[in-house]
Amino acid sequence: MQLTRRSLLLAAGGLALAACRPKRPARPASVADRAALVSVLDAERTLVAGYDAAIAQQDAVAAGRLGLERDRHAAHIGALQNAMREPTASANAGTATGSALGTMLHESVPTLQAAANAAVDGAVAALFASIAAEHSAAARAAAQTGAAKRRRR
Amino acid sequence: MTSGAAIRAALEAEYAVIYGYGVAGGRLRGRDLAFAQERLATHQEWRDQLLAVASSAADRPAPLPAYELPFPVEDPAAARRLAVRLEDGAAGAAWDVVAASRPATAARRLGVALLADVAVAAADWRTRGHVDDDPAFPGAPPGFAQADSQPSTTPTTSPSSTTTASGSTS
Repeated sequence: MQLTRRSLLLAAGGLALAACRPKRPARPASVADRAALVSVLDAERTLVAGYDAAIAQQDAVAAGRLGLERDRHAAHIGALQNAMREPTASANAGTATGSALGTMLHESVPTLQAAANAAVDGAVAALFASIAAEHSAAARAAAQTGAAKRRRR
Repeated sequence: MTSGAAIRAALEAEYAVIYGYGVAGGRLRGRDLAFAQERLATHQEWRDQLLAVASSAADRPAPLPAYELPFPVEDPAAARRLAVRLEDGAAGAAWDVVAASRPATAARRLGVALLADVAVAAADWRTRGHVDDDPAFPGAPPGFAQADSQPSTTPTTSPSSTTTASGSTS
């Protein structure tokens, strides 16, 4: 195979490419994006509360898997708060089941993507788009898990 | 990074992904091969859409005849790991397109849609490879999650749940 600059980027698994990229949003979000950030942040807090409620109802194995997912949404909250320069706050108490979480994730995607398309600040747009992407992947996984359970019955 | 440069980089990434799926497909069978073929066709469509939004010839690079692979791809497990790398690389490029583009433009919409598509595919490949390191922020640059995440308070989690940035899976 031919060794080229681009191939080196691929060879490094994206790390070389990533090294040229900004590490994080360098400035607070614009006023124009603040309403969207608040809305997305509230939705993520509700989601995390739903995970906490669902985890409490599961056995250890299922709770461990949901805990990994819950951590990713907690990370979303941290990033959104960072973009807003808002102090950390805990999620409200909530109720949810595993299937309800999948529905919440699935239904959140269009809203997040619309917010990403409309965001004035590119860093905020990328954050929204990335959260939407993660929700898409998680919703798909939840749907596949649910389908597998139904097949076993 | 300008929008044009981000689109150019995304096109270069798509060319590499298309090449990589050609290699991975040679090591896969059955449902994994079918999924790789499906992903190859999907990435060819993303390439065409990126070409359509590139505003100048300078933003439309030509594909190379071959690309160096990150590791030898000699069995199905390696092919699945490569597929994860490919999708993660495309996610990083998509993030940059979103970040560099203006709101409500074709480039922004394309980047948002591309990022979701490749994140879902990367997660699918991780499941097929029994790897559980799905990133919290698909496409994010290295250090993003470490800088921005808050610690978990859930006792059922493990350290393995920490986020990996795009392309950093192995």
